Amino acid sequence: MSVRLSLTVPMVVAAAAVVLVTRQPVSDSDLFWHLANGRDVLAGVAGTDHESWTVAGNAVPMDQWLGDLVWYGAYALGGWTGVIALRALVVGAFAFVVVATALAAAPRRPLIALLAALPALVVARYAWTDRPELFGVLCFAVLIALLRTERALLEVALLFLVWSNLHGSWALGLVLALLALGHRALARPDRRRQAILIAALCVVACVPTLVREQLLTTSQFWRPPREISEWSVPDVTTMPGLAFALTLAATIVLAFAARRRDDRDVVLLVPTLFVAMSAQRHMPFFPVAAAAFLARAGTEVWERASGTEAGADALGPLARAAAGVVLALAFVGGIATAPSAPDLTGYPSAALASLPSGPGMLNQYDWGGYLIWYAPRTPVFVDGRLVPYRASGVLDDYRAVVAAHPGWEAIADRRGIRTMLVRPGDAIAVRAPDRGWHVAYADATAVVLVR
Amino acid sequence: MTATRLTPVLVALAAFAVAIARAPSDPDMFWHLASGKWMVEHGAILRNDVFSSTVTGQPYSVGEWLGEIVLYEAYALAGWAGIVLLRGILVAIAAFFVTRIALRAGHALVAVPLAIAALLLSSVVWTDRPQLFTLALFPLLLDVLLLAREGRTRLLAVVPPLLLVWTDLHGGYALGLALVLVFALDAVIRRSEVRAYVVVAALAAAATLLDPGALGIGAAVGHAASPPRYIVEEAPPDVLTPAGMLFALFVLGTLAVGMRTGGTLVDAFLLIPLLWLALSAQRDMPYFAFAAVPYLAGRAAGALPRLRWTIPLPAAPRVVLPAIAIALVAVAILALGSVPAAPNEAAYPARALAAVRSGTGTLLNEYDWGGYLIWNAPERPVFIDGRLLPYLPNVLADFNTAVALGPGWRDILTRDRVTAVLLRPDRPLVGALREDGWRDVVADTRFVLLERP
Repeated sequence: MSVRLSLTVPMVVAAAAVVLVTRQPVSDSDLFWHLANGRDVLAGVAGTDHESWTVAGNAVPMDQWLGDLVWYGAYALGGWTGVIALRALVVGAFAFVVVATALAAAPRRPLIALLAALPALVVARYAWTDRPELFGVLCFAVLIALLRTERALLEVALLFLVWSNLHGSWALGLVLALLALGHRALARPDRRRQAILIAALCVVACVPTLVREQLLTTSQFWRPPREISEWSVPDVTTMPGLAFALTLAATIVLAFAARRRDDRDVVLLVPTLFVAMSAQRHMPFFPVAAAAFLARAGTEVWERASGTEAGADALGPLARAAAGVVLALAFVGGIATAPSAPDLTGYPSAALASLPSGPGMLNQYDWGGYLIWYAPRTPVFVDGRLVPYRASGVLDDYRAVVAAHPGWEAIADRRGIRTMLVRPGDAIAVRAPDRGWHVAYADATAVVLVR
Repeated sequence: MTATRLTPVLVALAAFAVAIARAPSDPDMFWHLASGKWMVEHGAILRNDVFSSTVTGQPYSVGEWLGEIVLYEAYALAGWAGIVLLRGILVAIAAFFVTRIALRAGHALVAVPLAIAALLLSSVVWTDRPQLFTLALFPLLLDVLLLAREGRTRLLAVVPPLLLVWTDLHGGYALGLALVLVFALDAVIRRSEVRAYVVVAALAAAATLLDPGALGIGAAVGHAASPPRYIVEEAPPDVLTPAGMLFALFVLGTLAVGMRTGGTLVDAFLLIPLLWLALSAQRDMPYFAFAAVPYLAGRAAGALPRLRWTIPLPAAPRVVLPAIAIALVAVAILALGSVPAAPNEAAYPARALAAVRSGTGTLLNEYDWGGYLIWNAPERPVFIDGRLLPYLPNVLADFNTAVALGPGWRDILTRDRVTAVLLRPDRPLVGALREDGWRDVVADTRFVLLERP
């Protein structure tokens, strides 16, 4: 394998990804509460809720504390541009790692390696949000790259030390790492002791999070909140779902056609496929895991069909240097021209002035994070942190009121709801005025209703 | 009879016994029955709506006219037991052919459990509707095509008439036609019996165009490409449910076995489109599993080298197979003796029927109860029902807006002169109408019938 080639092509792809991702303004509704949590972590007050009035004082999950802190650090250092810079850095690193992994599997065929990496880039495109989830996708790509090599086992354990505090996807990574290390222990008796030791270190690295969060991650996996779009089932009639299905189809076709067998592919791809099929947000993991297999099997099938075998046509040092310059320029240029303010279209910005201070307001679920950041004097009823609201019945009450289910008025009385900030199309926005609620503010985005 | 020949019969018997244990309850069964009844009574194919207040007289077609007539004739012949027995027979046919295909492909110890797993997965579509015909005909056609590929080319003669009948039975005929085209393509690539396959494929395609009231191939494909997600069975598979998990095991198994042992071109032609279809809607999961059974049965042993059956299994005592056969026949006979003679109405507003029949004016009813009302209260046209196609897009949108209290809900009730609603108690509209003074005619924990004051 040519070292030069394995750096040049990934750098060019990373540059393209950086340019693409810096065009996108900040707009993810969950980013805002992640930022608030990161600020709390820095201030040493995280761990209990003080953003809502419905679960105030209750414990909140801290499984992503480091991820929240990193995002807040980026914001504190560079404002919204800092957030975009961090996003670009992570996405660029992700693109680099995925392409480099594919290229390592097909060093003589950079075009096939690129095509093999493309599904991962396309499907993960929908996970390029400013949240700790982005770190999870990058960590997963790094894990796959490490498990594909014969060396670098200690790095796997170190990865988990960080990952288990960044994002909940570490649980999938740990299962895969243990399977891969188990396979290595069986296949290579001379490395058995080493594999067992590294597996133990991986588990130990995750123990603090496991103990602290009491298997929160795995319970969420088995009981996903399907009503939230990213937790819904993968749908092949959507673009990301179609890209995922095409990747799966290509993987099966190449598995049928290729002659070279590597049990590591089965160990890495089969469990990942199950996880990827479980929810839309997990779909990117499969194309990431499959990239190296697609590259290797694609090369084998192509060379067999065409009867040609490519030489090691490594690019020269000039090309590598040029790629480095392109990447640096893409990063600096992308950041310099990135949108400097968040895109708040879709948020109730104009309604903020009509909101009361203190508890008593029911807000749209999707706007909870936004309100935490932009209207801190008005604690929220519910927001994207989800877990504390599910456990306390707040989410059920929220749904009943917003959809104006029979008995919504009794819930509003019991909860002490005095104001509602909802969308004009919500059933409650239509029904509450009939029941004597006063419309304090209304535009095409939001309605403020006061009892 | 050898064990290989007897086993499919035994699995079919077992499947028959299991399938006839359930009482009919599918909401769409009722409007299929009503449609079949109308066609038998009028001696014509139903081409315009005669059941609703919202699209009455409008032309529509869901295809499946022959399937609806067969379903109704089964009912006319033996009441609800006739429906149950028809289901049992069709499931048994599917079980027979799936097991036969599996046994031809691999060792019985792998083949039979795989066939049973696929049949278990298929139980999600054991509903009393024309789609049961597709459930039976798909493995039958697959068996014919696989046998023809193995050299029994004469069997291809049954394909065009099979497609002709299937087209009138259920819209799933498109799946059968696709299967024929896949094997024709395979024959062209293998350069084996090309003429026979091409002629059969052309005749089969022509046969699907001959019927007077089927769902067009465009509509069938369009439905598959863009399934209506608000219908549960049209939702994508959820691998965290039992059926979804079973489906996932077939997909994971196919990937794992493929990576260990490879596959052929025809395996890919067959499995990839069916996988896409299954991923698009859970009602199509069984067809992927059926097609994956021979592939997995044939290659699973090779994929697990440590478990290869190199040592012949100890021969079972000669009495074992006859004993199993006798036991299964006994179970089937016992099951026949306790065939449900009435539908399971637990999910329906049975107590509201009398009031619905005697009422006047437009009734806004729950979507899932439309078919039930068409069959049980034909005096009162429905607002909407599971036929879906005639209600797209406007009536369905109005229904959703009204029951969820969307903007303009009151205008919809006024415009359509709705005088009564029959809905689930937790519908927002129920609370709103009660607050507006509509009175409860009859209600329980499952339904509410409200009338305008």
